[in-house]
Amino acid sequence: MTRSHRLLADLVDLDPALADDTLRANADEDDRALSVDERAHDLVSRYRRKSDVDSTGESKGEVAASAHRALGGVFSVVGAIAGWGAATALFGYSGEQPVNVVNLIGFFVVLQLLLVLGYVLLALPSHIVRRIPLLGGLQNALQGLSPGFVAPLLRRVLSHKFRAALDDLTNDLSRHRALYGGVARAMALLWSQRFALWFQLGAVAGAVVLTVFSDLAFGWTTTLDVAHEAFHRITSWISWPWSALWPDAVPSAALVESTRFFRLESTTSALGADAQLRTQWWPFVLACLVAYGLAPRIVTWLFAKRAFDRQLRAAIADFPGVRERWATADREHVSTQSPQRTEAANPELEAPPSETLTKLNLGAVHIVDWGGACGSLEQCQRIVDASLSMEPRSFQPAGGNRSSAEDDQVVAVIGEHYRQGDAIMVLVRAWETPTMDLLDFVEALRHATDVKTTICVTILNDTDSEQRGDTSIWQQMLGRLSDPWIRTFPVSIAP
Amino acid sequence: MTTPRFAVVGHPNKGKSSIVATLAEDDSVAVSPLPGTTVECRQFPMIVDNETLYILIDTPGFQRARRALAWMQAHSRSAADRPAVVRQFIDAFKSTGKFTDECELLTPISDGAAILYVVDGSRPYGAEYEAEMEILRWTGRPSMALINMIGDADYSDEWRDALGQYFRIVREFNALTAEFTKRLELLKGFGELNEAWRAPLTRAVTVLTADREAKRRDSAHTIAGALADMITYIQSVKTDADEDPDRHKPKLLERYKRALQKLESTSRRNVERIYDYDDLKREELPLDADIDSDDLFSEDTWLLWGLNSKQLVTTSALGGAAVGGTIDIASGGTSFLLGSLIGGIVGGASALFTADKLTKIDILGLPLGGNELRAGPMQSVNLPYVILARALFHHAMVSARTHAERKELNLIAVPGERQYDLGAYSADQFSARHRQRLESNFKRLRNQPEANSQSVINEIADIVVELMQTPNNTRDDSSRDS
Repeated sequence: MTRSHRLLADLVDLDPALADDTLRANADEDDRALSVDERAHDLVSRYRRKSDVDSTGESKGEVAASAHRALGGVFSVVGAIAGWGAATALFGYSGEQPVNVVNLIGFFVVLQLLLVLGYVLLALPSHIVRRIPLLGGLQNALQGLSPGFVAPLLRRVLSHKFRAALDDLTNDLSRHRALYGGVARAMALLWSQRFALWFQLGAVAGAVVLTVFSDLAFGWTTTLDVAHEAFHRITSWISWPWSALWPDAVPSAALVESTRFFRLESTTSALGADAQLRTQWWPFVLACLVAYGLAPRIVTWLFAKRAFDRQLRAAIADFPGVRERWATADREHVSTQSPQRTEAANPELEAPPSETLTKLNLGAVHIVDWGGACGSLEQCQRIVDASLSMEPRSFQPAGGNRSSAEDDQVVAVIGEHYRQGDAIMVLVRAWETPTMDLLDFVEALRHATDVKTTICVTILNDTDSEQRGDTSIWQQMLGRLSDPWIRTFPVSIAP
Repeated sequence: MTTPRFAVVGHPNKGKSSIVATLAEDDSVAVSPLPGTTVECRQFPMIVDNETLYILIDTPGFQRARRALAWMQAHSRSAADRPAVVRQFIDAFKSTGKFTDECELLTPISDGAAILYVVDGSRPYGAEYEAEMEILRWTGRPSMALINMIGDADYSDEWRDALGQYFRIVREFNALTAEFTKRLELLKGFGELNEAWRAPLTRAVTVLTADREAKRRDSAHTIAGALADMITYIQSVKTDADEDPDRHKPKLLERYKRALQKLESTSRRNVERIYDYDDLKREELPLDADIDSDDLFSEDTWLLWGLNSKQLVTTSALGGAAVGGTIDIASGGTSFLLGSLIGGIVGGASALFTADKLTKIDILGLPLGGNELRAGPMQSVNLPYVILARALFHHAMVSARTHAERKELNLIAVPGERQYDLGAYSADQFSARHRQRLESNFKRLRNQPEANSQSVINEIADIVVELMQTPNNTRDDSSRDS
């Protein structure tokens, strides 16, 4: 695959490749030795290996590139045939009238130079076009005459698969004109230069075949009053490019003088004894075809090819998503994230139990004030009075900045004074996250009393806690103990 | 010199992981209201071209601080052996399963990391924190306390009074709302913990500042590219010769709109990726939303985001005058500036007729039979400004967001129901100079998209960078209505 076709294939396959998140992390892509299109090629290659491609093993982009190459071949064939035809027509010699060198100069020199000038105007960059009034309009007019823009017609000779691929490609190019307009234009100009190059090759081939395998007689004639000296000067100017390399291809003054003819004169008198002399125009004619037809077209074709590559590279570099993907590859690469990139777990709170208690009758209860949630029994009663019915047996502080030994002592005291049927209430502040410290304490209370002792964790909520759903956090944490006799009881404390 | 390392430690659920997520700009950090979400240490190195400048370490919270402290107190004879006793504690329990979280969080500190202790300043100080603060003091490592304001209440003063007794430096830092400059200030503060760390942290701040600027430029270019694509976008459909082409117009227009909306959405995603959000969920209305709050094509959206009627006329005239000016220059002044005058009149008049018209639909005959209906390029004078204003707003929201935030990015613009001043982002706040430069570029895109696009995109990107940098998008008030 040529570089142009590789770039075109990569451009078509770039969108799905960029969208594939599984292909994101690849350190090689940030290799600064690589250009953007090389990085894109690497990404697209991995995408093609990974994704399902059609039965031929080609991705959409590769099919499009193949179709583009096929259409280029069609332009070549059509161009060669047209060039051969033009040469055959212009070099046609029936034996009656000589081949008119003026026609050949007009078609293969003057017209070709004008067409090359037309290409140059079409290929002018936008920043120049913008500065010259009306040049943009002239470009638009010339576009209509360029062979490249008849591609839709020539596509009809391709297979259905290639036609579909080119339709998709053209649709994408025409939809996103700001991004791909340059590519579409450069592609059309490349096709036109390909046609023109093969036209010249066909014309040269036709001229050579006719020259070698038939005898051609040349002369020159024009209605205009042109002296043979003046015509000799013109042919000398035209011959300047090869005058040093191929002197025989420069018509002499005698040749010019003796080969003028007029159609009104009889054939016999027109040709006369100069028949062999008239053949001596052939080097000049062939040299004109090569110097003014073929050579410029080789240059314009190479230029168009380079311009097409440049547009493709620019389209890849400016493709949406490319910049952010490889932005750091050309400057300092900064990373602050964990190399162990995993999907964030972000466990959510479970919904609170569907049945939420609003009143509870605990009966005889041993109260533990965890971390100074209440401060005193009176305060505790004030807070829970409306919703919690109880007969306090003891009130003891635990947790907070008390030592674990002191907590153990609290557990021991409760265990010592526990009676069957007593409950235990642990007062906590909703916004203080439950830790294993508290769960250990609750487990110790369980072991010190009875397996069926109700342990009620009364969760004191202020407005903020209620909004944040802190009660759910407590419920989920206490749920880890898998103890069916642990109840949670949220209570709102007024500000 | 060893690489600076900072272990972010504290009570469960006080925002340690949120602070790490914000500083590391990493939304893969698990952030949850459930305590115990972080169960093992995770490192977040800042690496610049293979050079590690510092490492943040997210740790699990203290779970049994009092018992751990009790063990250490029982095994220590004097203050001199305390760091060693902490090491002894880790070695004794690391494989037993008893003090799993304490061993996990103390290991990096014992290995030389500095301490960043995080508390919730919106809750009153509690004595239960003293055991863990005491353990951290026993490690002997340089330490800083961060008061993370999670809720609305403010108990930072009492926290400062307590924390100042245990930690060398005490700072406030809100992981959810901290602006980029605040994060840089915090990093600079880390450098105060150890003289040897100042140089790498100063370099880190410099690099992050340059990186931020680069992200802004990249975002501007992404927005400019998408805007150019949307202005020049063409949607077409082919019909048979015997079909009535008008029948296809409504459907074609609908497809055209959806294509533009998709381009806007893609551009938003690319901007989010620039800021390291791989899968940010947005709160947007669906494409066919009836209410007018976020539909790109609704009248209310244009009123909210776009130019006012006077600006539409003058902006279009400015763009027309700029084009006419080219003729004046080319004619060497012999046109007596008629080019600008005529261009301005034509431009202004066209705005009156086309301001509300999204695009025209052309019917083109095909050489081989049938027709092609073509919608686009964009005709509306106002819509490019609407798109640009929305993009600037989206960028502002994304760039201001911290990676600790887990809520969806809310982009629904319902006037009166937002905390942001949307008016600051709408196009009618753009200065006349910006509007003129934008309009002349938009006109170039419409007239010759293939020929001009790259240079136009670059120019639009430059303007977008300027608009991004204007604080709160305050414009030159005197030019607001011109």
